[in-house]
Amino acid sequence: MFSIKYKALRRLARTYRRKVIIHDELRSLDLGLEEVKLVKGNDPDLPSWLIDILEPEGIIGATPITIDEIARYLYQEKQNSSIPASLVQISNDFYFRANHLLRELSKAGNNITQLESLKKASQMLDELKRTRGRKIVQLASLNVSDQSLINKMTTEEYLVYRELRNIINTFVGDISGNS
Amino acid sequence: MLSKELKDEKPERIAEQQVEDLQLIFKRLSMKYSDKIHDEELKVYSELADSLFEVRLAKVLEGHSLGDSFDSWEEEILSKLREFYVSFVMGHYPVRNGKVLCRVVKELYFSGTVLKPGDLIFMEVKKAVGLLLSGVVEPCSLFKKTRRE
Repeated sequence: MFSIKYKALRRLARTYRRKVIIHDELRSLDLGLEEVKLVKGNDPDLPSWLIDILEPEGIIGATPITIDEIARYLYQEKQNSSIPASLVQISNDFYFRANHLLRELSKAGNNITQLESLKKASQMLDELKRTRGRKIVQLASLNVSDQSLINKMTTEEYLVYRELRNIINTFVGDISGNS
Repeated sequence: MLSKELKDEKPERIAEQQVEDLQLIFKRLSMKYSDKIHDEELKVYSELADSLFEVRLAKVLEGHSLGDSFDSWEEEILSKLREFYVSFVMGHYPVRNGKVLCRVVKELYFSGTVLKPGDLIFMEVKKAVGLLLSGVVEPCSLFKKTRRE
């Protein structure tokens, strides 16, 4: 069930909205569920799948995450890495934007500076995921349901947390005969 | 819909009207546009529909009910499939050369022959399951009820 839900979540992430800058005006777009007006000077939020089409054509510019931003979150997260309740708030589309940054940096070709940035960003992101992951596993095993902590997780993290908590609760219930 | 479905352990109630509204939007987009943006949009929503199916089906398999949602027929189909599967594995049906003995419920034209209700026929399992789900045949059980009931 987890892999089904995770796949669904990854697909759903393509509909998440992000703020963009309009470079080139387009007539309005009829998307069926909404009408999008691309007017120069505005910074509307658009679904990610649409950004993936319009950005390479130079019509819009997405606001990517920076390496410094990842470094800042990693620093904050590691301040109290053994305290699960110290989970730092990150934006819901953080991993999506971070993956976007990695994809952009990987287009570097032979540019040494950009390759080094890719390596650095990739390592920091991996460390950030693992540090947050450890805290989330602990929160799930402690059966913590504090909404303010849950609100600090991204949707992907919340899915991991909830599934783990359910598995652990089922296991504990089985052992004590309460399931 | 998918977002709500992922948030809750139980299946959400999805009314027929909600799906009909979406069908109208997607039909209009499919007929009116044929360009990179709309092709991608329809692909994204097709994948979401595929995931909605998977997530709700998994919930039904976990024992939840779809209630009076637009896709409640899935429950009936799954229940029949499950019962057939268990009874087949448990040897409750007469089987010969990989074919299962079925009783015809509704008149049926099969392999050049008209079969009447009450007729008996050995059928390939895949065909028997298809016709069982359509309510045209039912497998003959050697026992009154499955031992699970």
